[in-house]
Amino acid sequence: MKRILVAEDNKLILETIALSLKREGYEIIKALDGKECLKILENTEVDLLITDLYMPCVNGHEVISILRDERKKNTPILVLSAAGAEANVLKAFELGADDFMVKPFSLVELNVRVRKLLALRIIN
Amino acid sequence: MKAVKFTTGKLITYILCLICAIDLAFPIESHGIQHFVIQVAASKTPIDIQQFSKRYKITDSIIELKTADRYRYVIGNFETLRAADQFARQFAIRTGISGIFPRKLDENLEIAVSEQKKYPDKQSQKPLVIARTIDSIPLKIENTKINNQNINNGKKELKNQRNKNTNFIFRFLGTNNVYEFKNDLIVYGNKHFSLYFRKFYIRIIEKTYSYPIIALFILLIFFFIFNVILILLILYFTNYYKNKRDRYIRIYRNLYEEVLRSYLFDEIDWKKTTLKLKKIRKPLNRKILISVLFNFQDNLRGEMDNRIPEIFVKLELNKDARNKAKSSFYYNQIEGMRELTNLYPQGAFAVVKHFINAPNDLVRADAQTSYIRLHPDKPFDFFKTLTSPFTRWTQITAFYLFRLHELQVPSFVDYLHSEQTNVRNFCLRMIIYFQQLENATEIFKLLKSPVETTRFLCIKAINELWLFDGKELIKNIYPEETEKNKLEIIKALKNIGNADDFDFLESIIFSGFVTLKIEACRSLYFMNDESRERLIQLRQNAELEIDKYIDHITDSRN
Repeated sequence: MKRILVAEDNKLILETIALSLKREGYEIIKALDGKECLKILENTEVDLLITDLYMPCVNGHEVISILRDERKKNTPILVLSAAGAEANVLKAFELGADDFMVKPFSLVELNVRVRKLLALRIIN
Repeated sequence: MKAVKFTTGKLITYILCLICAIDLAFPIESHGIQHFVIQVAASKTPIDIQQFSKRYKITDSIIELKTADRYRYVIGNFETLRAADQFARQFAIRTGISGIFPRKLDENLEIAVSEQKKYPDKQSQKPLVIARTIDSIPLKIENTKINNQNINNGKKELKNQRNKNTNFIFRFLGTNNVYEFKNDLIVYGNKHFSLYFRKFYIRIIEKTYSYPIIALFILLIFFFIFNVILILLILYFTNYYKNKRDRYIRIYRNLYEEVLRSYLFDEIDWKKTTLKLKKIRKPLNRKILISVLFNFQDNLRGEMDNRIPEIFVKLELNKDARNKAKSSFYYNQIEGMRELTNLYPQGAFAVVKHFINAPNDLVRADAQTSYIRLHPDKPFDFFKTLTSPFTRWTQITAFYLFRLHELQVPSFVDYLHSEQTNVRNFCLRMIIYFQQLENATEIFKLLKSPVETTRFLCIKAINELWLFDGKELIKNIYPEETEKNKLEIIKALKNIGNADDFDFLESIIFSGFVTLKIEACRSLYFMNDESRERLIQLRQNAELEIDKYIDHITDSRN
């Protein structure tokens, strides 16, 4: 079973994404802020990270950059943020994000993107 | 939770209550009283006080004292014989009444001053720790009480003296100063206040001087401590209720989120959902529900677009929103309108239309932005019926919404005939921004507008959209234009000008202001090679100092 880490400070959205992905058959780990997310990443192996950009303690950009600097370079990262300005998107991709979705988003689209990112990881 | 307001009115009421409480808690003691009045008349039969006052033009209030043998009429309220005597003299001169003299009054008995002459000056200058008010002087005086009262007075005098000696505050301030100040206050009250208020005023002063001053300080300290405790209690309870409310909101938010999520993912049906949604009839819970739905709506799209309005209607939250929109308070109107626009667009059209010309700027602005969101095909059609101003803030919001939702760009020329100047200006800005070249003649018509900004935007549009047909028109209006618009016309000629305009620009260089000259030089320099040649030829005229202008306009910093 593929393990996905979802880092999102909005509990409603976090739970909704988790429920939606669980129904697709993934194992979900939840983090309410960047610090918690990094802590989980230190101890747990995940197949995909879905992260928000603006979170308390450590923001999404920092999470991506730390993750890419460490050994887990192959973990795909999907950014999910309301900050869809061009600068934010480009910065996320420069730091090593694999995909970017702007809020409000469709859960169906999210599931498709997750499936695709996980498939690409297997190919790589 | 609502904040507790502490207004001036409440403060005054509070102080008055405190005074009353002190009055009740510490009633005036009857011992040790020394009180001087001025006797202005005496008679075996009662006299008409009003007539008497009128006859001698007496403004002070006269008090009738019924003694064993006659009626005595007195005025004033003095602590010392000296003060009473002084007043009596002044009073005699002022009114012309002869035979008036000061009298000393004790608690239940009046004693003629002549009887006290055995120890006159020292006695009169002694500080009075306890005094009485005029209105508490008994009307009927009995001679039998004389001896007992004298004994009591002597004892109390000694006690007062002891109190005085032990009171360090008196020693520190100086007793004379303290009592002189008191007398001044009483004299001031006698002179300036009406009888009704004077009674109250003198009572307060006397009460203040009735207790040892240390007691007042202690009272003040207690009052201060009481206030501190009161504030701490208010803070504690405010915080307690806020936390309680926050906890309540958190619990129900989590519950509603979970239930609605289950419903949205088809884990439970609607019947079960309504059963699980507890206390949804309470106004606060309905607010929580709305905020949860807003959160869903803000973050989720696609399949949720129809499900969320469906829940909103099923829970009859649309009725609440409509009621809010009907409210007479502008913030409720805005709240209702926003809820309907975001969560139940079908029900929002009529409400939004109703508020498009609302007199309140905030309501109107919200209605206008809501209209843009609700009508993506014709977002600015409300301009046709707009009779109220389209504020600058709404213009910015509208533009932001327009870009954010990538709405279809309408032809802004259609709205150039609006009654509102700010609508016309907004449309001109949008025409420039979106480079809408169609129907340029409509833009030219606005060159005759009496509003300077509108004409400026028209010239700018002609310049930026390269509307060559408008060149002659702007040249024609140049002499009557303002400095700002003249500058814009010269700038326009840089883009749309040709050899025909050289003379026009030259005339400006010869006779215009410096800023206009610089701009005319710039237009000639950058228009084309031919115009640049023409400008260089002008260098021969040393008076014009063209070299300086060319240096200025070719400097990259300008």
